Amino acid sequence: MQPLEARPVFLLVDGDIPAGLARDAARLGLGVGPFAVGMAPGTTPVLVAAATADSVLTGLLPPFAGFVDIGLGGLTPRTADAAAAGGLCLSLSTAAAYGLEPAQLLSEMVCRRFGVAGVLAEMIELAVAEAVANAIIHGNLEIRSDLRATLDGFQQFSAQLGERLGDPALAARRIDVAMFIDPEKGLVVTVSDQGKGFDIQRELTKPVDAGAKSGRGLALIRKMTRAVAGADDGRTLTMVFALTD
Amino acid sequence: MDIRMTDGAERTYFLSGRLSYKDNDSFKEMISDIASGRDRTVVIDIRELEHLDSFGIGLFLVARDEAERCGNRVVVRNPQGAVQRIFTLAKLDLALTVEGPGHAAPPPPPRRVMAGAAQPQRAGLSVSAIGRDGDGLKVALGGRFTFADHDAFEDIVRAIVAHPNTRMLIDLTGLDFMDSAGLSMLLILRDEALRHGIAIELAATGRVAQLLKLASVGSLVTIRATA
Repeated sequence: MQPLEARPVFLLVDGDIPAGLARDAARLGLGVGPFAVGMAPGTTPVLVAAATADSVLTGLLPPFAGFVDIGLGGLTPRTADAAAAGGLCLSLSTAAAYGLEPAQLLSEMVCRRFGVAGVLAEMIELAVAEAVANAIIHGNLEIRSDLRATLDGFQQFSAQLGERLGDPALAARRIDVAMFIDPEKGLVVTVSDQGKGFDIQRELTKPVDAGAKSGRGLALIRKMTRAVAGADDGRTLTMVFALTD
Repeated sequence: MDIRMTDGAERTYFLSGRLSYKDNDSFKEMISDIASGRDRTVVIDIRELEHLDSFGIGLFLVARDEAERCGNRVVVRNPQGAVQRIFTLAKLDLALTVEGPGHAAPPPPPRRVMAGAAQPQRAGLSVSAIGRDGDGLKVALGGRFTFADHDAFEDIVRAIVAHPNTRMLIDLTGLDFMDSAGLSMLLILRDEALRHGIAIELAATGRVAQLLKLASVGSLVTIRATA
């Protein structure tokens, strides 16, 4: 699978252009303009709008290379690079990421845009779903890992999840997913959060027995991927999927 | 659960507490009333109902059916909090006439977006009523079973442990997707069921069967390929 040639990214904003967005875009060397005006030729458009199932889907379909929730303040270096390299990016608030099931949308796009199908697409969906769930629950909402091991623990988890999703500061923290094809490695997907970070190496080497009721997400991700590693002090998970045998 | 009745422009039943299979008799009396006369509107006000399980959901649907047979109408008013979430999940707001919200603002349900203008909602898990399966019972799950389905999970556990000392088949063949949290919930369900003398079996195909295999769940629970 060959990546498209690299092109500069242009943010098309559906709504008033937030000052923070314009500043961030300038810092990353990205163009910004109103959605109604349309994109400049020779650029890769990324849609910036309020996050709904429809607007996110629009941003993930051609000609767009991605979607950014308008409340967030723009692209990150990782998401900007992915879009510029012919890949795809998706940046959502924690609350929107919880409500919209981004893994399902993204795996559909992986099928449509990168030609991946069947079992591999299912594995990518599961791995991305696990990574996004971790980024939401343990990353941005800072809920403990071992709560969901008993029924009581589950009730505590439900209560904490509800509470923290209702905290505007936590609910507004961003989740960034970047995807691109690396011709040597395959499909690279990074999922980033704004939490405290954690020791991914340590988590990956923990043994998981069949009866374990929590902490299985990373072990599963490892089984679905060719390679998995942490970055940004454990705030970013990088997953590589082999596209050829 | 307590039931209080008042007569005003319409007859109104106020339900409070938790509705479960134990309230079958008192609910049946209310249904007899709903099924009498003609062209009546009966209101069931549930602002003080804290919880209902799959049995309770079934009772509301019976009330609606009985009313329709006589040309009567049932209006369910003011579902709150967890009950409101269950109504949405079980699509009762489509099957019944539901009015609300109540005068007291419900606590924010975890499925709604709190910050920002958009209000996306996950499709979530669907759960069938508990039915017969040979000499045991079964329940079928459909849709997507993920970490966000923690409320539905607690309801499933309650519904299942209400039938102690039986065999219970959990039919996962209708699931489109399950993540590791769904897997964990199944294992916790198995533990809770065991404590009530219930033997759990799973039916799974496709990607869900693959996930169970990858996670070696077959060493703990019998898994079959058909429901």
